[in-house]
Amino acid sequence: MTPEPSRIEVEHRGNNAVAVAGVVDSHTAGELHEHLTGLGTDRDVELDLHGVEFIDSSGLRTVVTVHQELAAAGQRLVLVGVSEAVARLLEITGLREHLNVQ
Amino acid sequence: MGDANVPAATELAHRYAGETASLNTARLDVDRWLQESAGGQATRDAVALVVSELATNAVQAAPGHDFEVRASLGTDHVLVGVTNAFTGEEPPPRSQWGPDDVLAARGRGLAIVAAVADSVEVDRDDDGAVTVSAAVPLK
Repeated sequence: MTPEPSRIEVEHRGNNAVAVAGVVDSHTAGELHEHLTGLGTDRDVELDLHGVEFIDSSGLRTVVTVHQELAAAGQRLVLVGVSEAVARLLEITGLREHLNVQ
Repeated sequence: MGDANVPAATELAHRYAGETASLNTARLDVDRWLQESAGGQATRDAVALVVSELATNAVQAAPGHDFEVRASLGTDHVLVGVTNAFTGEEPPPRSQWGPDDVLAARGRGLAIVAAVADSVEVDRDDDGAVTVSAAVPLK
């Protein structure tokens, strides 16, 4: 059995937007969190999720945590390009209406 | 490897190192087995979520200790079970599955499993290892 750890690719677009692709689970969620918090909380942040092939509760936890951190600072995390995998999990958890999904 | 009354061709059982790097491997192993066995995309997506959530819980409960993933095929469902090493701790009672409020950071894993599965069971064997099993409908 060859280990095949999950991976993400993160692309920064300017100083307030990030696109993530790949598998967002507890192996990669911390990396995504670092990228997002590195942008600071003094402006809205856009997170493009169209390349997310798989996400579970650990990945979603990062999204919710950053959403809360930005909200506490009066800013918004805006989710764009929500992939099928992300949309499914947002539906299951009832989070779609509580997050800023475009 | 598995219950004597389940034909070998419909069963999978693997052990993995208790680290997050194993999670993707476990999901992929089960998905490949399922792809060869049965089930449409909706079933595969649901099973991937179940494996991910249960395996993540196993790694968090007993980091560094192997966990085991088993899957078998019934007539109308896939049974997925994940067994962690003995930790002396029970999973939370069903009433506590799910976050305290909808925007809480933690506590969604088992609620997600319960949402995509027809049934979820928690068992402890004589050695104290905990197995959480979920029956995911075949679609």
